[in-house]
Amino acid sequence: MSGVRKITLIVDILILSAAVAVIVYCIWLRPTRILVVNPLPAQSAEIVLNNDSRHIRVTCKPMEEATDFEKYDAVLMYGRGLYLDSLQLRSLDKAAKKGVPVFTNTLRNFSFVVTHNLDSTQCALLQQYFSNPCRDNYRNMLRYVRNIATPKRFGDHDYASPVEMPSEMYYHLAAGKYFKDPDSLTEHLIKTGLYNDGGENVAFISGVSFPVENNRTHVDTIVRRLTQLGYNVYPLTATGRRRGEMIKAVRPKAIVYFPMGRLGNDSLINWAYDNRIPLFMPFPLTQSREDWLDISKPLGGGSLNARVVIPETDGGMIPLCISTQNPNEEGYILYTPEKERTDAFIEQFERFMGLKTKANKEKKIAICYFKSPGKDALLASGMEVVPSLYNFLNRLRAEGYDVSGLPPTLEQFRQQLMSRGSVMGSYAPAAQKQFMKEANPLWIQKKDYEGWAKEVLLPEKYAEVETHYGKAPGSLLARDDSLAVAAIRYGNILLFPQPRPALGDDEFKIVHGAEVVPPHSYIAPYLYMQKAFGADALIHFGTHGNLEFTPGKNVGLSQADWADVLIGNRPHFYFYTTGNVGEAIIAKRRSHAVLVTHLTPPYVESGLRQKYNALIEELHDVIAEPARNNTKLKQQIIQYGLHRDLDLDSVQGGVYTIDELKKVDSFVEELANEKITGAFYIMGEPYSDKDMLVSVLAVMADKIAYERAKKDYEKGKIPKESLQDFTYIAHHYLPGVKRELTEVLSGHGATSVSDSKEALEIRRLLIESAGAEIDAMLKVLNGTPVRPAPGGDPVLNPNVLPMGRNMYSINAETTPGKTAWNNGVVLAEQTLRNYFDQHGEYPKKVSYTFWAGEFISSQGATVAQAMRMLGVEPVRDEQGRVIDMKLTPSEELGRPRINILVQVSGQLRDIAGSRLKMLTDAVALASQATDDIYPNYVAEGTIAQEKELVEKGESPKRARELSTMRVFGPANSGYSTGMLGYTENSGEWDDRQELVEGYINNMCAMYGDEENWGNMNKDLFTAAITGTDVIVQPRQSNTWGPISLDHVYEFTGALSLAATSINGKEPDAVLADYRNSYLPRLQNAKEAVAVETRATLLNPEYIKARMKGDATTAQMFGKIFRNIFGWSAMRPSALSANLYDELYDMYITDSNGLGIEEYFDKVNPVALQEMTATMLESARKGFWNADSEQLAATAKLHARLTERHGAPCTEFVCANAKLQEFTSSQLSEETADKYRNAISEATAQPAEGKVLKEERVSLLPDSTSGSVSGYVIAAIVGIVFIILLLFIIKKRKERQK
Amino acid sequence: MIAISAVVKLSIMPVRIMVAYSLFWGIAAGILTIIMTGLSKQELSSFFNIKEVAAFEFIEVLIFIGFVFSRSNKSVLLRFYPGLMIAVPLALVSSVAVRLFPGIDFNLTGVLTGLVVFLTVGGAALLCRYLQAGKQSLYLISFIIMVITIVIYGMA
Repeated sequence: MSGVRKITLIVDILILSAAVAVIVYCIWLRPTRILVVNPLPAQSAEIVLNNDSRHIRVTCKPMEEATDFEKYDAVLMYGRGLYLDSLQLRSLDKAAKKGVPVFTNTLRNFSFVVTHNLDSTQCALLQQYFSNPCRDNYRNMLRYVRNIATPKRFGDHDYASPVEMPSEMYYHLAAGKYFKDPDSLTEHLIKTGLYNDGGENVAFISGVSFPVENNRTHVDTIVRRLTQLGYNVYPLTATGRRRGEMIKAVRPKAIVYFPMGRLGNDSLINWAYDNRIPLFMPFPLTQSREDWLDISKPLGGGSLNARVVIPETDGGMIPLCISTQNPNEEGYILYTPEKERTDAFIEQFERFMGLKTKANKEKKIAICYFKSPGKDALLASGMEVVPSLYNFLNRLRAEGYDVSGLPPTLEQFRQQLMSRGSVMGSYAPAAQKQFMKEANPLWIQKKDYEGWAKEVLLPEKYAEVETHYGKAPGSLLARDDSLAVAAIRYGNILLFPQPRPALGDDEFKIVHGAEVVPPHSYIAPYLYMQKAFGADALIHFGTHGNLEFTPGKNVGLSQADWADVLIGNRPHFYFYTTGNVGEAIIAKRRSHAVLVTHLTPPYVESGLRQKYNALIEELHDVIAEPARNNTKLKQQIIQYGLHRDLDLDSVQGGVYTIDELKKVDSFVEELANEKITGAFYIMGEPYSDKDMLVSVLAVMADKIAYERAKKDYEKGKIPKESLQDFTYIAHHYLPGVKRELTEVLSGHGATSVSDSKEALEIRRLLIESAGAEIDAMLKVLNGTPVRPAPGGDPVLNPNVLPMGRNMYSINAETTPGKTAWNNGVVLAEQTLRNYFDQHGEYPKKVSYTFWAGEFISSQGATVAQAMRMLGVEPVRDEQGRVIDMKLTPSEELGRPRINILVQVSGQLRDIAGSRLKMLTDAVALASQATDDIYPNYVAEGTIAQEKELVEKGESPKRARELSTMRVFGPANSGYSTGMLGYTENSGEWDDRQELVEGYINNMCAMYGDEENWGNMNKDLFTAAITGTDVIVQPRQSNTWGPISLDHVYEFTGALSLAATSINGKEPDAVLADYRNSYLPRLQNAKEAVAVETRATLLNPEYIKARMKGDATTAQMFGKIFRNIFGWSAMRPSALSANLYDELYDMYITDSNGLGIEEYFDKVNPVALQEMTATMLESARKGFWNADSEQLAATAKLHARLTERHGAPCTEFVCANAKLQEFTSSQLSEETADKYRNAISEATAQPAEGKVLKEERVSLLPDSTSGSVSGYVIAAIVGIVFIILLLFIIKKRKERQK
Repeated sequence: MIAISAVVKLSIMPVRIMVAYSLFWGIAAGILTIIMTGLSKQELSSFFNIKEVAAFEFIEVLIFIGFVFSRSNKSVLLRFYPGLMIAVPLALVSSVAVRLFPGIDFNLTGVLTGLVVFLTVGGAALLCRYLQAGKQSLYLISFIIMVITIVIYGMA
């Protein structure tokens, strides 16, 4: 054979061999390629990690990425949410035609099911494998599929039948071992050496319906750690009633639940509380570690609900995130325990359980209270702090705690608190010096402090503190190498005031998304509490502090969050007023506090019914018979000053019209029925009999009156309009109901059986509630968990009674609820009707303020209002959740779609983020509405917003993206608008425009979609405010009003000021009043302020009732005066023109002889100093047109108090040099000198004003210099063009010639 | 001025080429409109840097002048060079167009802008052709532009 032929033959043989090898490989040796489509990340990991055969290759893909099905030997699909497009289906068909088996794992009701090349037996077996997910079943399922798809290929065809997993079982660390009762598990634990003799049992429920294997490190870690602590852990899985039975069978001392909704029904929860079994609910996250730590990615939607919100209704404690999901080396997503968080949970668990066994006399309890700086009183909403604290400490002593050294009298205790437990401001260095010298503070050495900080804080967090405030010990209360901390110790009880969370310029700085780092003086007492004192538990005393409002994650905090790390893994308990559920929830989630509710102040008689009775009667007579209208009636009305509040004329002659008289009637009726609260509540002391009666009437009377009116309407006795008329019901039903109830509660007379029983029950609950909070706190300090309850105003929701319980929120996904929706529609339409009646046209834009407390209490009624404005309505699923929205047809709506703007508090953002996104989608939907027979102001507003953004330099694309943004709030992870401090630090600003800029700067974070969540954009916010015609403020509690709560002027006032500045006209401002749940209504802000002012601040009965209170009650007067100042700065039209004169008469000259000066002098002189300072500052700013006599009298009173008691060292007075100067200028020289000396003793600073510098961040670079003017160029071009044209024409003519 | 010089240059080309270029510029304007939607004012100002535009335009007019004084028709490049700097005024037109009509679909704005540009450029080129603008006009315009660009560059 020749050489060439030889080579050819060899080549041929090689090619043939290769071909044969390939064929052999493909037919017999190639691994079976299985494609798994649409698994959850955990399922992917499970399947792949349980594949132990090298002859099987598994690929998992999400459904969007699944293509080229024909390249695989088998396809398995998870049916939940599965959808394949036409291209994918074509590829799947191709695969099926090739003989590739395709299987879809289905549950009932799945709409997309595809199966090919499998018979019914094979399908049934595969379904069994899928339905019983465990290591063996995954392994065998893959081998079974290999057997079907590639039967001829060598290796690994053996498989076992599916293992039936019990749906209810106990299990433990060993995989594949399941037990049907606790005793069997106990045997197993003994056998494996994991049983702790004498150890307490812990029931552990992982929240999923099966104990996944290979991907449950987070579960195993908790089981292992608790076992190491000495407990016997019984993990179980079950649902429904069986879960409860299995939990009870364990006889646990504690329950640990990775929550996915509720633990069980009320029966199970009650059983747990009856048996003192605490519920711990740490949770795993499906977010990656990176996302978890990213504060711009808050936990929301279904995850927030299932893991946090709903478990709160069971009273679950310690909502720590203990694991995240992250890819392993192969890219499969696995649960990853977060070590530090797991350690934190275990420590808190251990400490809480330790409270059950440790003797009271050995327990160390730290109590942090709140106080305004300087000499002002201790602070808590609705609670008189000092006597409450004293009562609590005495109860601790009675229960065996070591409280040695507690002064024998309340007065001595108060003096100690005021002298040794004060809060210092950085503006009063002399006061600081005095404090360090005389107050016997705790001295913390720098090296100790730094050592603790190193142990507790992340290095980068401590570095931030040092960067901002310098090295320890810092500048406040610092001396050499030590830091002074205000604290008082009584035996094993440590009391300390919560210090200022920021210092110096930070106190007034306009923060623009920057983190506020707490100073050394803030961190030190908390570290001392943890490391030196070694507290067994921490209590925050009253509503509320600021630790839970330090920036960071909304829930599932990490060691990087101050609110978590300064609590330091202690059991944390918080006395909180039931009236403020919105902010309470933040404390619960961010500082893992167990709340213990306490009563609000009692309701008291306003005395206004008696005052206005004659007028009311006459009004009714005249309205019923218009012929009786007379000038005397008008004069009476003018005499009372009511014409000012209602913008009626003050012309002496003539009469008011019947419509005007009806307006007066409604106003006066409201005044007469206004619910006002008296002196602040003291824990452990029930309301007086008189106050108890009024409080029960407040809860019951409106309800009964409305029900009777409704019955009469159903019988045809009254028309519908009367049923919806508050004035009608107040006049015709309420007095009778109140009389009857008074008789019942006094033990005489009887009303209908159910009414009287209910009223007596409310009274019983109110009596029981006094002291219930102390009892509950003492119990929880002994390891008895606090029962859950809703929160809110007892008048609105009597279910909040009794007190001493742990408040919870609502499921935001179901809002707006059906009742809330109906209320929202009523209020939205009323807003539009009122505006139309007044202005003759519809408003183009209505702005809303969303607050957490109002959202919870009203089940999202303000969200409903906003949606209704847009002409959008919710679509619900069977469980009542709002899953979608649709347009209300224009015909049905009957009016234009109205544009909106929403400003939110940080608290609302955190609890209802999904609603904000929903609202943004609603705006987009309304903007696109094309069926409109009426104008679409939403679409117009969207285009205008886009245009404005483009004009301000935004790219058109971005401007369009942002054109539907309508929801704004404080910087992400921030809670404050910053406007309270800014406004009340009035020495630092001169022009209202500065307030506007501050407000826009602080509140321009948008909350409309995930991509832009928390991004700040001043131009966008300004564009969104443009065109605002109406501002709506929610009001859902009887315990506060527009002048008694600072947040009202903070939000509504600030927005009003900004809108006025931008639009050149002041928008209308109304309050959406939900206080009467049967008759939600709108009220003009000016009227609302007038009602509250007349009923409280200018009402001698109210003042007398408050004068029965202690220092904290007295302090509220100062607060209200500052709120009035705030309104004057933001929206002066909301106040009556001569309000300041009336306040002057009432408080400065004491025209009613109430003993104002004597009272404040005795109880809280600082409050009156604040009040007089506010009046003087208002005059200085031009808000009060005071004459020289008024100024002199006010200044004299202020100076007199200062001389007697020293400078108050509050911010309003001591940090405002301009005010001090102004005050001095109203005094005689001698008095002025004394006054100045008193001030400088505290501040030790020259009296010059500090001018605030706003940080201005320019969004655009400076324009380049030397650019040629466009006009010049245009002119040159124009001239040249004309010359050219002439030249061309000339040339053409020449050519033609 | 840039647009005028480019239009005059176009008018000297054969009609079919002129129409083709007009269509090309129309399409370019449409695409530029879409691109302009993503540019903020700040980015635009760096895009339309006057100094750079002047410099590039100076170079272009040199090309035009070279074409004017070229004796033979063999230099295809010079002959059919359309004046690429017309892209600058087109971009300006696109950026204005996209900002002028808020709420209108960007794609639609792009199409309309392209159409307008096509008709304007084509129409202007035809007008210049009718007016027999020719090389002489091109030379004059180029000279004027040269002076202007020197002045602008110096002042910027």
